Amino acid sequence: MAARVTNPTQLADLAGRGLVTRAGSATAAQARTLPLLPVFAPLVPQCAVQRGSVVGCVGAAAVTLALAVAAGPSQQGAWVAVAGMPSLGLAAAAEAGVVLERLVAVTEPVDADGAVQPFDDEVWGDLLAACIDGFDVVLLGPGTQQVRPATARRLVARLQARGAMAVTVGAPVFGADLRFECAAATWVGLGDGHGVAQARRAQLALTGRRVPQERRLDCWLPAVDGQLRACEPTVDGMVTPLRRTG
Amino acid sequence: MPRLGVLWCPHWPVVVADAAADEPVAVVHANRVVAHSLAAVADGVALGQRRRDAQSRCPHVRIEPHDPARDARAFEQVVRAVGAIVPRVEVTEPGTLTFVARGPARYFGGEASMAAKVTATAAEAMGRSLAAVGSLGMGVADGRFAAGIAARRAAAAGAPAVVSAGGAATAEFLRGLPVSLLTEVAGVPADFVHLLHRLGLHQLGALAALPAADVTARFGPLGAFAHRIAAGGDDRLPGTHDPPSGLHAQRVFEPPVQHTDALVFVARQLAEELVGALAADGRVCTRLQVVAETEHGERTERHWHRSSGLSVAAMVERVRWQLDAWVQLDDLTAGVALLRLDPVEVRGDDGVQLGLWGGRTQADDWAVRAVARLVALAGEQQVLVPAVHGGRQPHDSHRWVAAATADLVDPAERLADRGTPWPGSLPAPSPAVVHAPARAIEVLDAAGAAVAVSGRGTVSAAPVTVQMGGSAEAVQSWAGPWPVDERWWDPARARRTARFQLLTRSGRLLLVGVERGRWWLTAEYR
Repeated sequence: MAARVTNPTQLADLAGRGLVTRAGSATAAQARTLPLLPVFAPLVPQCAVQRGSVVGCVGAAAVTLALAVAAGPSQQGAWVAVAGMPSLGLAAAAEAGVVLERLVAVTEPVDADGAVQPFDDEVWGDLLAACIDGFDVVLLGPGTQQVRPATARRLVARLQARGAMAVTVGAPVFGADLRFECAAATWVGLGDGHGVAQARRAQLALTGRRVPQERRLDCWLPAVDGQLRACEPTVDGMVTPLRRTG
Repeated sequence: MPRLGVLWCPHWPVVVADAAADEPVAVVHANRVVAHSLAAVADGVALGQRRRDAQSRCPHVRIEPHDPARDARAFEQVVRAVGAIVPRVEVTEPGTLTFVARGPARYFGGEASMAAKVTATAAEAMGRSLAAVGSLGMGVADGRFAAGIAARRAAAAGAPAVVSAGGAATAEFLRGLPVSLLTEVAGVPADFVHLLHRLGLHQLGALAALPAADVTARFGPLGAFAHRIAAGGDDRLPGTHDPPSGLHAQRVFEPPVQHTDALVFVARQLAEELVGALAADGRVCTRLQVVAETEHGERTERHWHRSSGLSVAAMVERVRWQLDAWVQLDDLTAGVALLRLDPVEVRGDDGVQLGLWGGRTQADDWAVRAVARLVALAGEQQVLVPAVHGGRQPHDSHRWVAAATADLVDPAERLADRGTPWPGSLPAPSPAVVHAPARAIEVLDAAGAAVAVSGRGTVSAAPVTVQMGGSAEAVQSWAGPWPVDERWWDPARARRTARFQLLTRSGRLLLVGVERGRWWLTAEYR
């Protein structure tokens, strides 16, 4: 057993000899986190999420928000598994920045009449454990709400051991270390019988276990040019609805 | 250099498909023809052709899907028949087998008579379908490359071909042959052969005439290999040798295992162990012996060869082929008690470097493994990957396809943007939730009557309320109709619909469509 270090100079000495690495070193921190898209920089310190975290997305733009959270690691080479979300729009996923080459979905079987035959707690437990073992990001949809709280706790423990990240939409059973809430979203571009939806302005709020105070951000999910970015401080009707001319 | 006999069946998948002698048959993989019968050639079907082109040239062609596992199982009959008269038969791939010619040639009184005997035995085992692809090829020569080419020429000529022994005779045989045989027989990448063509090297003799040092300097190990085999040299890479004794991976089952799937699962672990042990010394296995034994002493033993080296996946695939054929052909009386993988030939790994940028990463390997596990747990149809499909509706532009049958490592084909515009598709942003099938809803005007769209695309009244599953929501703003008339030429699949975006007062944006007077919720922007 190593001798207990009581004197701070002793510790510095050990560090000097390369026996102790400083926990705060940048590379070590990078290894323990997964990067997010730059749009979240004002909300999340270092713009990265600790591995092993559960990120909950709720509110009006929850699905797009979850895709945007998953997009950061995905663009850095991580694989994303989607579970219990059979109706995910793939075009929207690609637009949010998720790399489709590294996307895999697990869905529940549908019988001949079109009715979904949900997996039970045990099957989801095995499937999600396999997802957590194999993929860096697991997107948990409403279908996974079937699992019992005990199974969910076991899966979260596994997530922390493996160092993956879970993003949940409509699956509060997994809890949340970080919780993105979209309190209000307004669409721009749609008129009364004319125009087309072009951009969405969302008011995000971040709460969580390690977030002492709620943080707020106004952002475009997405902006008119398709980008996800924070709103400029002074914004007034940036987009004029198209007028019918003919 | 060993004297080798190669038996080659042209278009083996067609023989497996049980083609009649004059029946046009094409075997298709990823929409490309990979094998065809003689009758199909007469109608203009060619290798590499697209399925649709093949069908337009020859409308009555029978299209069969490519199934390497089935081909390998069927080939086991031939391997057994030949194995009864020739020792140590090695399967190179389904349709091609290789054996050392020296012993059998002495036994049967010369190489020509041995070749005739082996061809006759194999032809008998293949049965009537052989007539659909022509005749078997049997070649005897020094080394795999020359023997493989001799077998192909023999198939075309209809009689076994024997190339005289000795490096000079082999070089003379190869001199006038096209360089494209490097790809066809030796598995050299096609772009390398294209490069040789562009440099004016059209024949193997021209490549062989260059100084070896210059070829190596210009093309690296691959060029050195191509130069050596083109000159009639040894096609085993330098550094090929017998593996260290005692290096094998085996598992004894107690109690014996009844299911092939369980055995294949164990085979994967064994293959990983073996490949890992060899890789630690910087080596790769090129020839593998797979042995399985039941409790009652029934035994299967096969040699498998792959010049580029056997990866874990390749080993597992071969174990599966061998076990499937064994289980199908023999009435096994007991479960399998022993499975062993023996590397018979290894060589120094010339190094396929993991990509630093863009190449395969460890995350990719983990993901591929995890997908295999998920498929085993949930079933093939439950594990999906995206594919670009193309279309105007959200559920048409992309589709989910089964991950088990898709290429996970090189998804370029399924995710290629076809570049075709879809006039009438909605601009980005796309809906994040797509309901397939669409849900029935009601869209009502101020008077409470259903909103209708005329054939000319005019709306009867502005939508005011939308009723979904018993709850009603007020419409705040809306846009549309965007009519789309798809596949009007095909009555069975024709769709004529008008789309709307509805923004409800609670902030939900819906994509709805009206088709024959019924309203459907197709997607939501969440």
